[in-house]
Amino acid sequence: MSPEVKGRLESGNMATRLRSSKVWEYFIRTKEKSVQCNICKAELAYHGSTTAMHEHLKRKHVLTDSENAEEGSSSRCKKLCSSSVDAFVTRPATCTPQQAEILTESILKMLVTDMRPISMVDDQGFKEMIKQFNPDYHDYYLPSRSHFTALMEKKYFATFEKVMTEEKPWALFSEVGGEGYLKEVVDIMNEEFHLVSHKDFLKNPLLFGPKIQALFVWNCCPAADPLLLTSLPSLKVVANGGVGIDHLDVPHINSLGVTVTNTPGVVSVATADMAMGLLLASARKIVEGHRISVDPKTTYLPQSLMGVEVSGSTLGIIGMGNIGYKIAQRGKGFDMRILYHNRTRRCVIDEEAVGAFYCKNMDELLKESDFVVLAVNLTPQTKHLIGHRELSLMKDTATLVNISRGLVVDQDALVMALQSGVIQAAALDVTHPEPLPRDHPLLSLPNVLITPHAGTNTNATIRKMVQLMVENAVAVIKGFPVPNEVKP
Amino acid sequence: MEEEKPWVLISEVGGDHGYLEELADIVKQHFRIICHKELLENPELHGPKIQALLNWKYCPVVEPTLLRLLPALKVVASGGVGVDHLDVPFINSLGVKVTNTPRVVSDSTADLAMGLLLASARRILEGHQVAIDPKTVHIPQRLMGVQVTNATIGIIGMGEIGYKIAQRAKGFDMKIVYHNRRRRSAEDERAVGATFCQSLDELLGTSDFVMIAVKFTPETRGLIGHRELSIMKPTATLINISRGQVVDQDALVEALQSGSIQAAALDVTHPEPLPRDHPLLGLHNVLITPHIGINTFTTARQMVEKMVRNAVAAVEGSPVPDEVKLQ
Repeated sequence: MSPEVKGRLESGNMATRLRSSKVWEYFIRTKEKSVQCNICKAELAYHGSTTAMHEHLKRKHVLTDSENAEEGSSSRCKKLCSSSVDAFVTRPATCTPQQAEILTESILKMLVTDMRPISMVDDQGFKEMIKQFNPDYHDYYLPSRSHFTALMEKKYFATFEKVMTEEKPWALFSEVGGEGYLKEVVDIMNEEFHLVSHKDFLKNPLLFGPKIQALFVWNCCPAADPLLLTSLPSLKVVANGGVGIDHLDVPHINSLGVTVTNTPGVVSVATADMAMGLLLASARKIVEGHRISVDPKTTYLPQSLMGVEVSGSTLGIIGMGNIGYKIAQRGKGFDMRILYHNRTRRCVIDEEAVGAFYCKNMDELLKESDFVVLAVNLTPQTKHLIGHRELSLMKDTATLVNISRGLVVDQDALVMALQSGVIQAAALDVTHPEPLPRDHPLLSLPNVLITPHAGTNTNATIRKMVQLMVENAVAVIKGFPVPNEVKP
Repeated sequence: MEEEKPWVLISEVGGDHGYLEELADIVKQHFRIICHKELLENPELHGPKIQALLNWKYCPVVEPTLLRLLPALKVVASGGVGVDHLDVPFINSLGVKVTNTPRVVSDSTADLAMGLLLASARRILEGHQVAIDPKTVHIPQRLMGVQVTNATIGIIGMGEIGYKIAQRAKGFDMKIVYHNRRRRSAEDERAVGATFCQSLDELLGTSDFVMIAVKFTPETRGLIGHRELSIMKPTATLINISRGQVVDQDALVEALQSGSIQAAALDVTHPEPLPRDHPLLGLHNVLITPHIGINTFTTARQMVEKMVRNAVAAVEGSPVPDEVKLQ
C-alpha cells in the first residue's frame, strides 16, 4: 500500500463513498485481491460489496497491511466482520442507472456509425469504448457488458438486430475527419459496407483482417503496401477515391488477385473549374490585388497592377483526357485559341466542338501558348515531362498551370525558369511533395500561385467520388461488371 | 510635324497614378502632352493651348475649376465605358464633347468577373495563403469550395459586358438567368442559353452567383440593398464589377456577417480604396480587387488608342466615334 493511500485510510474519517472508492482505487492500482482489517483481521475482498466496505470503515477500522495490524478488537467487531465477509457478494461494481442510460446512447450511436457489433468486442475493447466517451470513468463505474446489453435490448433491439444481421461486406478505410473523410460522406459508405477504420484495424488485425473484402483508398491513405495487403487475405478490391493511381502498385495488387478501381469522370468538372480559376487568378493578379486592397497601408489604387489578357490568348493543353477536354470547353468561352497535345488525337467532332488544334509535337504547343495547362496522368513517361528544355521553349510571357501531379514538372527547373524570367508565372494545385517544405523557393516567388491540391474540393464532387468508389467496390465483390477497373 | 500637333492634358506619366510609359507613347503620336501639374504651375501659358483632355482612371478630376482654365477645350476623352464620374450635361453646356471607350473594355472586364467568381467559389486566395503559410504541415481536408459547373448565375445588366460574362459562364455549363431593362433577342438568348427574368427578385432567389454588370445611373444606385440581399440564397455569392454605389455597402456588410449570403467578390467599392478601418476589409468571406477590370496591357493599350482617336476626331471637327450622348 502506498504511503498516500495508507495516509488517507488512516485519517479515520467517516466512511463515505469517496473513501471507499479510494480503497477501490487501491485495489485497481495494486491488483491486490483483498485487504485485511487491522482491527479484526477480516479479509475484505476486491469483489466485495461497497456496503460492507462502508460498514467496516464506519467502525473506524483502518485498513492497512497485516504487518502493521494492531492487536485486539472487540468480539462484537469480530462477529460483525465475519458476518460481513459472509455477506460479500462477488458482483462487479456498476454505474448508476442514469449513467448507464447515457453510456448506452453514446455507445449505440458509435456502434451504428462504425458498424461494429458488440459481440465482436472483447471485455477490454468494451471498456476502451466506454472510456472513449468519458475518460473520467473509472473501472468501477463501468457497466458490465451483460448489463449494458440488457439495457440495449430493452430499448434498441430493433436497430441493433438490423445492425447485427445485415449481410454487408466489410471494408477498411482510413479515418473519419482529420485527414480522412468528411463525416457527411461516411453515410454513403455505410449503406453498403461494415466499416473498419485503419486505427481500429491495427488494434485487432487478426479479428478484422479476414473479414475485409474492400480497401478504400482516399488521399493515398491507408497506404496499400505489401504489409497491409498480406493482412487482408479476403481482399477483393482496392477502390481508390480520385482518378490518379500513381500511388498504387497496380501490377503487384493485381498479382494478388485483387482488382484496382478509380473514379474518373466525376472529378473532371471540378478539376477543370480549378484549372481555369488558377489561370484567371494568376493572369489577372487577383491574389495580389486582394492583398493590396486590404493592406492597411494602401491609400490609393495602384495603376501598375497590370495583368495579361486571357480573352483571345492561346491556351495549350497537354493531356486531352476528360479533364483536359473540359478545360478546352471552358477556354472556348473566353475566345481562347486552343492547342492540345495528347498521346492520341481526338476525333474531328470533339476538336471542332471546342475549336482545338492538335499539336503532334509538344514543342510546337509550348512555343505558341500564352497559357500551358498540364492535365496528364502521372506515369513513368510523364514524370518530369516539363523540364529545363520545355520551359525554355515557352514564351517568356507565358504562364504554366499544373493540375496533374507535382512530379510531371521538374520543380528545380521551374524555380530557375521563374527566377530568371524564362517564363512569366506559374499556378500550381499540385506540387511534390504536398505540402512543400516550408523553405522551398516556390513559396516565396511573387509570380507563383499555389493551392493545396484542392482540385476536387467541392461537396458535390466529393460525394460523387465516394459514391462511385463504393459502387466500384460493390461491383467487384458481387461479381457485376466493374465501372472503373484500372487495367495495367 | 511636332509643332503642328495639338495639345492634350493628361494626369501624369509614370508614378503611382499616371500612365505607363508605353501608353503615353501612343498619345505622343498625335498630341503634345501637358501634365496636370505643369498646367497648374502656369495656367495662363498652358491653359489656352489645350484642346483635348484625356481622363484616365478618374484623373485629372474634371471639375468646373479645371474647365475654366481651358477655354479652347473641345473634348473630354474618358478611358473606360462608365461616365458616372463626369457631369456630362455641364461639360456639354460648355460646348465640349464627352467620349468614352465602349467595347474594348468588355472582354477583360468579363474575364475578371469570371476570375473573381472562380477565385471566390474555389477559395483560391485562402488556398494560396494556406499553401505558403510557414505553419502548414498538412494538406487541409476541409478547404471545400462551391461547385461552379452547373450552378446558376444571375446576371443583372445584360449589356455588352453582361453578355460576355454569359458566354464565359456557358463554357462552365452554368445555368444562366438575367435581368435587364430590355430583353435580349431570342437569338442572343439561345446562343448562351440564357433565361430572362422579368422580376429581379426571381433572379435573386434562384441564383448561386449574382453578377452585377449594370451601368451606374440614378436608377441603379443602391440597387442591391437589405431587401435584395435577404432574398438571395444564404449559399449565394455576390460579384460586383460595375460601381461600388450600385450596392448598399452597409447592407452588404450586415448580410455577410449574419450569413444572409455566403460571400462577396468586389472589383469596385465606394470609395476606392475603402477607408482602412472599413468592415469589408476584415471579413474572411470577401474578396476585393482594386478596380482592375481593365488592367491588362492589351486592353489598356486599346483604350488609350480609342481615347486618342476620339480626341483627334473632336479636335479636327470630324465625326467622333464614341461620343456620349445623354437622352
